[in-house]
Amino acid sequence: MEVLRVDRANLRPSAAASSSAQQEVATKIKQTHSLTVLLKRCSEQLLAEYVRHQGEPFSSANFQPPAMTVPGLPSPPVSLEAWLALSDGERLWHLAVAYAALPGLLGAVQQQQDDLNPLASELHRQLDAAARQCRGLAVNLEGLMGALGVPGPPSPAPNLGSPPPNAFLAKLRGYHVCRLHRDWAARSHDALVRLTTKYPL
Amino acid sequence: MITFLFLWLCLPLVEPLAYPAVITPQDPTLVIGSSLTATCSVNSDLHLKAGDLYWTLNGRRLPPESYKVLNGTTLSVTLANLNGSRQQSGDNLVCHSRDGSILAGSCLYVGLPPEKPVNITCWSKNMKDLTCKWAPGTEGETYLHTNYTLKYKLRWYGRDNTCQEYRTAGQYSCHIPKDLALLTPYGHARSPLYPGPLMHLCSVTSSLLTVTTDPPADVTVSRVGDLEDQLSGRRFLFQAKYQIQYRVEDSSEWKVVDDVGNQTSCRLAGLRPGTVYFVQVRCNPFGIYGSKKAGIWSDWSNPTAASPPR
Repeated sequence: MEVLRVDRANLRPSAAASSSAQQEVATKIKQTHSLTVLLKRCSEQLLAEYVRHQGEPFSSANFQPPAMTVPGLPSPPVSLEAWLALSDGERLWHLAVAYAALPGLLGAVQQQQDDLNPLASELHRQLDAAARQCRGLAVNLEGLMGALGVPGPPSPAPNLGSPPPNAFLAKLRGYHVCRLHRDWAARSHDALVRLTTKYPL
Repeated sequence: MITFLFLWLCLPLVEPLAYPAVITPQDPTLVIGSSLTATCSVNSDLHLKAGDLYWTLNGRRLPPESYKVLNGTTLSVTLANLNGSRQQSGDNLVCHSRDGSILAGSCLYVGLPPEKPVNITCWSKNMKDLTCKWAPGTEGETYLHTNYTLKYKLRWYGRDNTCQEYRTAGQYSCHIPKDLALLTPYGHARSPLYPGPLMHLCSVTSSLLTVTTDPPADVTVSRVGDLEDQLSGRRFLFQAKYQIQYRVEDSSEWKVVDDVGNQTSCRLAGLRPGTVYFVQVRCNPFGIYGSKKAGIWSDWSNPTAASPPR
């Protein structure tokens, strides 16, 4: 099989690339795109379910949380214009960083919600599903980046920070994780939509 | 999609202070109807004064009449006659600065202390192990999680054992895998999660050997000889006394035969020929380990139908 020669800046395969390799890439992109569609929908539902169980003011439409850095997970770090100006490879790289951290963070939220809302079985189910979906997306991204010749980020040192010292901060931390999960899901969906147009099946 | 992405521009870009303010008490557990005075102390780096602060409870602003300035950076609020918590994760008591931003929060857990569990009953199918069930004392009105502990001891030895296998037969049950010999099960209810005035033990003791059995199986009803108006029932069980009830097919009125004793067969007389009857049997064990105490009547067996010949 011919090696796919990749222009790193633009990820356009060279003319010598075999079409079967291109098909493989296009298939991986389509699969990953489907997963981001799922994640985008589920992450919205998760945030809604989460705030419902924490009570007001979390569940109010104009909730303004104090900003909080979630350890190990940068807020989508660049402005919209800057994100769109990134190359496909760079976007995938940022996504890989996020999805390496999200499963652990969602797991920590699940543990805290075990204490705070032990009877909220639907919330627990969704948190569990979200962590699994993020792990799935991380694997997909790794495969896709490999096929495109984009180097992946180094494995992050697990860094969940210390557990929140009280219930209110636990609710707040969980809110930020769920909202970031939603925001990153939207970003990943956007990135994969762009790739599907560039690599149609 | 574009509108969605615009959300990111609104994320605050300012790095927050780790703890801009501190509320005391943090995450208290309280009884419904009690009062609470909480304080919010702002970090002096913030250059906020106590008069710049306000409180909300579950998103609703609390009246300024309930506030008190304790010092330059500390504001208290007094809540009277607290209602039960609106959600299990606790009511959100939040300290805000004048512009509405959240400085700190404390979750209030308001509920009722648990009541003693009731109706402790135990049963065994093989006289080797025991399953006990109980009903919770309080119904609703509290989100506070209640832990139940079932303890038992040998009547004459007095050493406590704690049941380990909970929820084997429903939420309020426990399985004791030991020889039955004269066990006295009794139960505790305790409300934990956050230590506080609601954590106390209450205990209720059940009586010895309130045992029952499964309803009799294989109840057969057969016609007896040539006699037109009799039915016989056969049941299998040991050491038990029995009761039979029967009714005509199209009636809901059961007739009970009480003095069956410990016979495993019984003749029902005075029945109408050609009429379909439903018959049920139940049993009550006695004389277990020499105890003179009666047990509890089992459930009725499945109805068996038969009719005396015309």
